[in-house]
Amino acid sequence: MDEQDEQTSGDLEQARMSQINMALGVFICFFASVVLISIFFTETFVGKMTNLGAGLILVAVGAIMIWRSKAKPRNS
Amino acid sequence: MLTGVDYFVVTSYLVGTLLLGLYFKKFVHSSTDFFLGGRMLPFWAIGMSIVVSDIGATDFIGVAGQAYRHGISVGNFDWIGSVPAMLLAAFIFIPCFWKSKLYTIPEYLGRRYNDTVRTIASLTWIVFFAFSLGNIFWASAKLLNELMGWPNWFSIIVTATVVGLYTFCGGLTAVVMTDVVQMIIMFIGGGAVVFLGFYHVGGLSGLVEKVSAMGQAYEQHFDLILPVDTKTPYPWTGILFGLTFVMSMAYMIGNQKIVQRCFSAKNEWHAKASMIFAAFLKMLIPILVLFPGLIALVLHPEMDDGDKALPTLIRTLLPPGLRGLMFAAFIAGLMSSIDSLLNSTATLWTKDIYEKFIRKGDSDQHYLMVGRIATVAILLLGVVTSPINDRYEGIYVAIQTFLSIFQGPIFSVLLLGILWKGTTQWGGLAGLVGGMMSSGLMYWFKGYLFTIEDPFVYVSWWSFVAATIITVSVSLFTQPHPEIRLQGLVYRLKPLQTDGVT
Repeated sequence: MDEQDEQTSGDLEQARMSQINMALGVFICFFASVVLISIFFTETFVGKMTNLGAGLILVAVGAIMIWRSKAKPRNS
Repeated sequence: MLTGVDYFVVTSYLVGTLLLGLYFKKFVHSSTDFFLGGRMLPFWAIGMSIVVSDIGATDFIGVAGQAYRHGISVGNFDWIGSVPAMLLAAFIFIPCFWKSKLYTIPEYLGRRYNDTVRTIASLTWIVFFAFSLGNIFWASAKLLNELMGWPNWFSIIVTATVVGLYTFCGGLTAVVMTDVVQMIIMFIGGGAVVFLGFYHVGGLSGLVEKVSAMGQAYEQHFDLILPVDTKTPYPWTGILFGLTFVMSMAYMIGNQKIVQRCFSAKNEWHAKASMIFAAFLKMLIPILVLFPGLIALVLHPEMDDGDKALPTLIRTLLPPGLRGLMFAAFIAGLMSSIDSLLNSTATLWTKDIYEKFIRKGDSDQHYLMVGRIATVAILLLGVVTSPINDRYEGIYVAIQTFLSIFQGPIFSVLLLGILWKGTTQWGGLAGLVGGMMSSGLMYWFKGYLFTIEDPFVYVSWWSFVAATIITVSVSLFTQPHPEIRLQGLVYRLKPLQTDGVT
């Protein structure tokens, strides 16, 4: 019974973290897209490159969080 | 100034943070969920939240301003002033706290000593946090007025509404996860400011060359360790004894606002790792704030107020979009300071005072409701008292003075309680009360004892010393608790097997 309780608790924790990662990932990707679109409103070349770099890093972080949210739970 | 894109980013960030925080309400079903995130949070989120709760937007701006005025020595607050304390906390204190399944630091003091020590410590923190909140609201309003041109009352209402709602609904999970987003954005935005700043001053070598050429007043700007007789607020003696040995240790180990996050870890490994990860992130913070201060010195040497350094660089260097995101991150930083205080104060009140003395043994749902009501009450108190800070400018100094009165003694009894099984409950009580009284006396006679106007670091150090001497002396003549009671509460004394016997 103890093992079953641990399994249930672990599943609950995994499900919760999946939902949290998905929410955070979507949130970060939204702002990444805003920063990338802002490239078209930027006048200087170095400014455009800065927006591009920052936007790509944000996309990467958001994408990793979304990918993590879909990861299958490890079997104990 | 800010463009339409920037305002869109700021507005979206505020709305998005609120929606994100409200989303986390679905995870709150018990008081453990509300106060400790269900004890399910991972180390990376806790570590980021610790750093963001520690530094706020005012610190980001203030440290850059200090770098503008005095150079890189202010970075000691994040390097030697934080990292050793965090590592000590990670390997000695946090495992002890986590295994005890605590909600609050005073709860540990209650188990280790007695309920009087617990109650004194808890009430002290509650009073400090409650009064700090009004000060933070006012400082936030002034900052937003400076950055965005918002009227003070508007800033306070917006901040209080957004923070209050997501903290009320989502508890510690909402607090921690909104901090994660803020940390990511501050690092990326801060990195962009440094990158663009170096681009304009000719890299690191160009920066050093240009600052050095500015004259004698700036010759110590790249000195990390300053002499005792320095005119800056950062003599090495104050940094080492006051900051490193006492204030930072007391903050990273004994401050409910910081340590409560570690209690929410999913297991002991995550609890330790969160503090270690936070220490790593803290090491990077000075790079993001010191260099902007120095870059602003080169690009804008005429500034009368060094605190304008970072906002000015953000306005002038960052492109649209990223600029709005950095300002949004500042607002988030302010909100992070507020939500941490709210959640921690509500936890202290509900667990140490309400559940202990006012209504014992009620249902968990009742205490969840009390926690939420306490959150709202403390928020309203902060909003109502915030304008007082405009009339009485010394309130910030008064709050810091109050902190330095009890921080050293509380840390002393905490340290001795964890490291020495011979510390008795009467030694702890005497040390706590005696230490706080010694702080009061030092401030009363500060004109005779100290050469500087606001001797926070020195009072913290000497009150810690006084409390330690008193605690040890009284403990040697009184009886400690039986060892069976101390297991799990003292370092290296292992807890009993859980067979229901205590």
